[in-house]
Amino acid sequence: MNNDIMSYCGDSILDAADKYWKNAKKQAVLRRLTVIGVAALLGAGIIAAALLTAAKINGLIPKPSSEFPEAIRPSNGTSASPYDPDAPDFKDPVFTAAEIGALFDEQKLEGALTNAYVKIAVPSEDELKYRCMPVPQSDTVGIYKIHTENVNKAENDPFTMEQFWNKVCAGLGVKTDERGEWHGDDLYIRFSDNEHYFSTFSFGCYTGGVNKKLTFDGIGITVDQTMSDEEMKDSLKPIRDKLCDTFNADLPDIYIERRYGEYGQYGCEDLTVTFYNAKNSGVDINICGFCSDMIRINFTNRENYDGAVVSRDVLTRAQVQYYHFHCEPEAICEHTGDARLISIEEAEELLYKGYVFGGHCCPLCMAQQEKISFENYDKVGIVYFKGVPFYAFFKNLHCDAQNGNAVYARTLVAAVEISGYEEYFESQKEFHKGR
Amino acid sequence: MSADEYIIKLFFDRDRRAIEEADQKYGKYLLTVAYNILHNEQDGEECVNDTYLAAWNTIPPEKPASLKRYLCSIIRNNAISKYRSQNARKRYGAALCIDELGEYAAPDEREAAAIREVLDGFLKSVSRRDMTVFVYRYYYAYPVEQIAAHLGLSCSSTYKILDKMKEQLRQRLNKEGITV
Repeated sequence: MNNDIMSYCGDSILDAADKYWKNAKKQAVLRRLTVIGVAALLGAGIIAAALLTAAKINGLIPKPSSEFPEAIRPSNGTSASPYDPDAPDFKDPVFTAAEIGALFDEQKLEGALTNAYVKIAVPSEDELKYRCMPVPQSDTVGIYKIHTENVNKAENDPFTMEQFWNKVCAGLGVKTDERGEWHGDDLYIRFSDNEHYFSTFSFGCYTGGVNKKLTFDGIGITVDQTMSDEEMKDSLKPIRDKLCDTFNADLPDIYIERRYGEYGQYGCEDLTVTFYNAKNSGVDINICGFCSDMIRINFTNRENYDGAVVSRDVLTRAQVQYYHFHCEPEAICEHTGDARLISIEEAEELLYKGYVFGGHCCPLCMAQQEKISFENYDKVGIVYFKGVPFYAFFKNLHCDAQNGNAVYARTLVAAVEISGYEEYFESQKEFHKGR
Repeated sequence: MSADEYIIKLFFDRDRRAIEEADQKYGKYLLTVAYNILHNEQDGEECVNDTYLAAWNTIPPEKPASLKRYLCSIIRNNAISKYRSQNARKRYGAALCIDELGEYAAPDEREAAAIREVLDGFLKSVSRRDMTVFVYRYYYAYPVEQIAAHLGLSCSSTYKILDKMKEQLRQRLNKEGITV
């Protein structure tokens, strides 16, 4: 029996909340109609606009039948939602819009999360350069297929639990007869051969509520987030060398990722350090991630219980994971060809017409998301999602997060020619029928 | 006879169409509840199947006043138990948002009723909007972003609502001698 407090919640409360949730959709529609109505009245043709608005209001209130409202067109400038019919007609499409939408269509459930955009919190705009690649100065861009099928470790592969277990235990000062998996009060050690196409050797602190500084052979596994990336890399060299020596690995290069949130005081929510070998990585890590052997150290800086950030400077809650891949990087991230990179101007046309991706691509749901105009966006770059390139547009929302971080909206436009935009976005309305 | 009454009658008649009818009406809803906790569609589907089995084994003698609520309560328990057992193995997984409110195992029905009264009284004392935010976060485990988007709020104000209500609830429970 589950004993969380909400398990005692009465039916009348749950029913009231469900009813409010259901009605909230209708209220969101009416709120936007009020905005549209006021904006129209202030312009020229006041009476005509008022009559038109009233007609729209009457037409848009959902009827008891299965009819649902039409997507609402924004009135205050260009926006990423909802979509505007008359999509560009590309002559040489690489994908259909349905194929692109399916990349993101991870939730096919009622109440699926809809993203006309996502929000990203960063301490400054400069941080955005880590969130995308520069737009290439070329006419074409690569397309990749990411293979996630299981690849078993070769029978004669020297990467085994027996090879490293005693060394790792000794490095952590752990004495145990257990093999393969061990859990102490503050630490854990684990070996796994069954992670799709890689094996892992992991150890570290638990993420919640334990402020134990991890040391390995006397070297502390910590980072000071107030350091610059270059300072941080220098400070990590001793532990990098020690871990590489332990695992007989040659991983001289260091990659740092900092992730921020809107909530919680000071600093990043977590920070990841990756030791890898750029010569072996085979593919651009910005496109496919890391596909060759690496040691990753994740520092958790957020309390599980209340989301508060743990430390303003030195991070100590570390989880270390050595990834040993069972195949070559090209077998995971396969370059299937190149396609014409549409221009930024062509991408902007798609952006302003609302043909954007990132989640459940439904114009009705997008219309209910807080409206954001991407006109005069602050930054554009390229990101890859599952091997497909996208233009990423960032817009500063100028409403700082609770911790003072700037909040940007980010939306994605396919960077190659796509067919069937209108049909696909129209078809997403089917999701709402009967609900 | 309402649709729920019909389905419950099928359970009582030991007619297997009870499962089909329940799935047609509530299948997607139950999967959403499970998915929000487990973040894995396959695990969620397993929980849904376990829920129907539990319903088949308990109705009768149970005759729920609200079939939706009954099934939701079962799947929520199943999903949370599954989540806990998966994370007990890992020991370093992320905590469930539901855990933020803490746990309390009422020793008997009288005490369970007392907690229910405090909790319901508290949730009725706040605005409908705030109550809905709280229920959808801590009962249905919806992500904060989704709650904010659906109710027309910003993420930061949604967090503020949750923060304030958690503290108020904690104080109310402490006042009644219930320590979580």
